[in-house]
Amino acid sequence: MHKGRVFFCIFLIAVAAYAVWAAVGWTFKAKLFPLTVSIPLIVLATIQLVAEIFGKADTGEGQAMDIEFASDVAPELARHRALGAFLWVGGFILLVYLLGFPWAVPIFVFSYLHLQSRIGLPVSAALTAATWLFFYGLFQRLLHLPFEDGLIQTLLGM
Amino acid sequence: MLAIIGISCITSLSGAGARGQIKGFAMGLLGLLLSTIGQERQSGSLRFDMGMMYLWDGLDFVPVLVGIFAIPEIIDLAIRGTAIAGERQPENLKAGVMEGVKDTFRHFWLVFRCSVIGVFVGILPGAGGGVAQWMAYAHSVQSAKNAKEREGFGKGDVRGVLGPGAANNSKEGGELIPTIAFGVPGSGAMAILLGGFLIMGIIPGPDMLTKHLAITFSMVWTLVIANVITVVLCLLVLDQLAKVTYVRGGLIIPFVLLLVFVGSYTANGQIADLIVTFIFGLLSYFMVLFGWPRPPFVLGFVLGKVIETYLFISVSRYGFTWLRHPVVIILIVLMVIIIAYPYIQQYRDRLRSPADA
Repeated sequence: MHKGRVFFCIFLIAVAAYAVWAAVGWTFKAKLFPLTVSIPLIVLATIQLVAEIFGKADTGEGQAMDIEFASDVAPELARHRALGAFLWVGGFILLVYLLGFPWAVPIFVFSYLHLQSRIGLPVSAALTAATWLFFYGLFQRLLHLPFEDGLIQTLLGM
Repeated sequence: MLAIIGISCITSLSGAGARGQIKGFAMGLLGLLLSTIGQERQSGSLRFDMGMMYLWDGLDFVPVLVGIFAIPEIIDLAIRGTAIAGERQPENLKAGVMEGVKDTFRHFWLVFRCSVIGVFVGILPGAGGGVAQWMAYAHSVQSAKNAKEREGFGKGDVRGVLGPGAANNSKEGGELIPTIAFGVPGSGAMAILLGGFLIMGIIPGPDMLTKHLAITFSMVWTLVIANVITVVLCLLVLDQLAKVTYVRGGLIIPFVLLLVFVGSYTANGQIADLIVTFIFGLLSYFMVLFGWPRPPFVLGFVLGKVIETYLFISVSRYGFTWLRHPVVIILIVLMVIIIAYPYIQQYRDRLRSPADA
């Protein structure tokens, strides 16, 4: 039994069960489609859950036709790196929320290059400057994309 | 009809075997379910909005699709710690160009059929290039002779590229049909084109196929010439473009993340778009990790609103007796055949293999 796969099935069942629970009280028009799709989803996810718990180990026959993550990296290291990457992604969103895109971009790019990728200070600074110039030139000057101020600027009234 | 075609594609895009089919169906249903978030079109009721105004309009395609496809690739790049091309040495790609051209002619009928799919999807309003490509991909997978051939899709089988590529290019022509003949734009780009027509005093309609046939043909030739120019330009810069795949992952991840999040942010201009991208990136990561196929999810999510609209129209007009309509029965049978086809293929392969031995 693969714990992660079991939890994913339980997650799907929980999402569909919530959808059924929420939709039951709606008007016929509103609940028709959500109920039509969420009830079979519960059934299929339950079948898969039973197969994961009691079935034979996955031989790869049921594997999705999709990309596969690198298999030449040790699972523990892969998990560690994946967690780190998600933290960086989350950190970037937090930076954008706090400072807005124009400030978050150089801070994030420099931090990632220097701290995560262990690139030397001058190269990191040069790549950060190039990325910021690209961002400023394309998205701000040329396309005039309206980027919201970050929370800090809003609080400080900048 | 669209619902049946969509569901059939969802199943054929799933992994092989019964467990693959279950996972494919489940992911398709999850996509359909998530497409219901937001205001219901017929009654205006809010569904699954969790008290957030951002969700009133439903989840936008861009942040969701960017999260589903881009984030796991970035995470994979971070896990591997190498360049996109891995440890492969740079090679001269021009040598493979002629092979690609030959492949197109080797699989000419597949390219032709997928082009027809592209035209058909292009005619349908709102379906878009993504749907055309996935349907063509599903058809390419279905056209594989046996289960072993099917396994090659997603792992380098050129037919997985030829089919969607053909559909993507041909859908532009399909989109022009309702735009020119009826003045009904099938996509955002066609709506802009329609605006251009009206500014220039060109009124779309049957006249475009009689009195103003020259203008219509000029558009057809523009499409043809544009495709030729694109091919020539790509051939010229192919080697330079490919060099990007040899850049160390650690150098390009922050730059790619920037593009991903700016792209996602342009959907609504809200931080919530980035959070949606992150959440769907996380979901997609686990989908890939645990072998749940993403294409059915995407197809379900993209087609969800269309399917719901037509389900509602059918139920309002006929009640549940619409399921007994002959055309619907034929389509259901067709769907069952499409679902059963991989099993029939497997069964035939099993019968054949002892004979071969």
